[in-house]
Amino acid sequence: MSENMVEVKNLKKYFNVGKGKELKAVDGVSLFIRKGETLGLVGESGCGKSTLGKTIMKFYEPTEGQILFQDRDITKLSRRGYLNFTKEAQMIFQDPYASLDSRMTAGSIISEGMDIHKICSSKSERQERVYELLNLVGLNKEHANRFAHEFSGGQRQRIGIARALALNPEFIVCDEPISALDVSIQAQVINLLLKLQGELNLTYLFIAHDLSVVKHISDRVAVMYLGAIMEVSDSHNFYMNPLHPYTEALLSAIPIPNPDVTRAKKRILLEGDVPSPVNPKPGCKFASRCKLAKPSCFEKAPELKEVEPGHFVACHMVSGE
Amino acid sequence: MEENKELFEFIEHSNAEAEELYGPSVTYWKDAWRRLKKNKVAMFGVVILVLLAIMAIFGPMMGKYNHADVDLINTNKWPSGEHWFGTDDVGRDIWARVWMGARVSLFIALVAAVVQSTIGVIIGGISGYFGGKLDTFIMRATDVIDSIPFLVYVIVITMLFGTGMLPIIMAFALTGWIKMARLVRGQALQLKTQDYVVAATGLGASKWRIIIRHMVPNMLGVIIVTLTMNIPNAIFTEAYLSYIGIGLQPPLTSWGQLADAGSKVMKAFPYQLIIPAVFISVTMLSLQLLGDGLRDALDPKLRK
Repeated sequence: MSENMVEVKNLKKYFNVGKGKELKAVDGVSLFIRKGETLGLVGESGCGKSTLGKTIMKFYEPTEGQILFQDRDITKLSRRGYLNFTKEAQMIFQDPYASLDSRMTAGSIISEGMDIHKICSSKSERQERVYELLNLVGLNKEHANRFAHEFSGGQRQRIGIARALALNPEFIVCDEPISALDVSIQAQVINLLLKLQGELNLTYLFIAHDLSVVKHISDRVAVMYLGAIMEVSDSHNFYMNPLHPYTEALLSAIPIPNPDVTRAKKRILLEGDVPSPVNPKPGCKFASRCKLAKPSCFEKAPELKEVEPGHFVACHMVSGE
Repeated sequence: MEENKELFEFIEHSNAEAEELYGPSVTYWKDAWRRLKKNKVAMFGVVILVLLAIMAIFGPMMGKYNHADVDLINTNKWPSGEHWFGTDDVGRDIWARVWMGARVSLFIALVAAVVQSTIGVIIGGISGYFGGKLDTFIMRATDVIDSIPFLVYVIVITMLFGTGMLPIIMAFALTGWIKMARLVRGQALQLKTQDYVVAATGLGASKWRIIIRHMVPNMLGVIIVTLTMNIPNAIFTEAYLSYIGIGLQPPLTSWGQLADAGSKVMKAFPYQLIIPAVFISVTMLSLQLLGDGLRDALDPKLRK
């Protein structure tokens, strides 16, 4: 057994957008997530973060590449294999309003997974488990009979977390679980996720675009741009010693609640817009907006290389080619 | 300001109290039924419909006359103790005819609406949920079926099977599902991309489970409203078919036919039109009230 929970090799997910055009949402991503750690995945809107998460969760069929889950290849799964996979990997969704069926009570939402997998032998056992899960995510027993729309956003997200935990998974994809919430509630949910990770020994893929939150929760951070991974490193290194020009630009945009620091800080502004992911040009994805770009950057896409132990960068300039 | 501790005391909080506050565990269907019972207007509709159904069964036995007996001496008699709703132009007792007509009208309407909706929901659901080439194929086939006028179907069917109740129901079933299918397809297309459906897939739910547990309850409001609209529509269409002579043939009757016959002598004997018209209207009103109530009851967001 390797120490990796998930390993993704050259994963590609293209969407057909008609007239022979392809939207390359995820274009050759390779990464791994160690057991028990949190990998933060950051990037701009539309860079393919969610698509990557959903492809790992098997909501999308990958166009190409391989996904290993606990050393098992899950790229192609039978119905039975998929059922087993769902017991080990779950997802927390971005929008707590859309992700709960408003025609179901909190109790039946949480117990749906248990019903599908026929985990509980009796009604009372199922009831107990629901109460246990509600308690675990900081809700009360009496919430079980209420309908989803009777809860606030933060409470709904807690129900979503309880639903994901119902099957005792080891790996959870958190798809921007806090971006739809109020700032004060964001902290609660983040702390809940950290608490649960400690108690249940969970592994997270934490997708977000808020770099401060990612810094708080992640062990390692991966930066994505236009469907490709630009840089992966441990959390400390990521913030102190970014190597990729895109990461530098991203980090310079973090607001710091100290006017002196903000005044002294030099903001790196990227010129132009994000190119369209439909039929992208060859070469480095970031080349069109990169200050360091050389002609070679427009010809060949850089590979993700380990420049320091545990620090991977996909840039011709950094890896010295 | 100093707080005076003597003025405050701790109240023990127990979970038992909280449970009493929220009541026992309820399923979605129980909760919907409970809310429907609370809705007085909808229950009024239910009571009227039940009464109509009971009268359709026992009404013809209550009068002294048979619905088909011609009495040429007592034609066009106004309502009286002898003939409760009067008689028509050949002296047939309208009380008996109204309830015989109720049997036919309610039966045709109910069967037609249920058959139409079932076919529509299944075809629309398959088309929308599975999507892709199957969806394109089904929707184009639907367009072709829809492009042929309803009357052509009726004429072909009556040529093949003669006139009567069954051919009319067949004609309804053959064409009436299209509206429902389009509606359900649209709903299915919209619902299948919802996060909660994706989440259920992620929990390992089968397609069947997703359709039954998530798609159908969420579409039910739309389906029920359409269904309650289809019933009066069927009553009317039957009346109009009878009018042009390819519906039911006398002495078998229906509310539509009675209204049609009554409209011909409207100036001299208005009761012959008013009586069946009132029954048609009351039935439709009750169905609409029930449909509205059901839509509200099935949507927990409207729970008070």
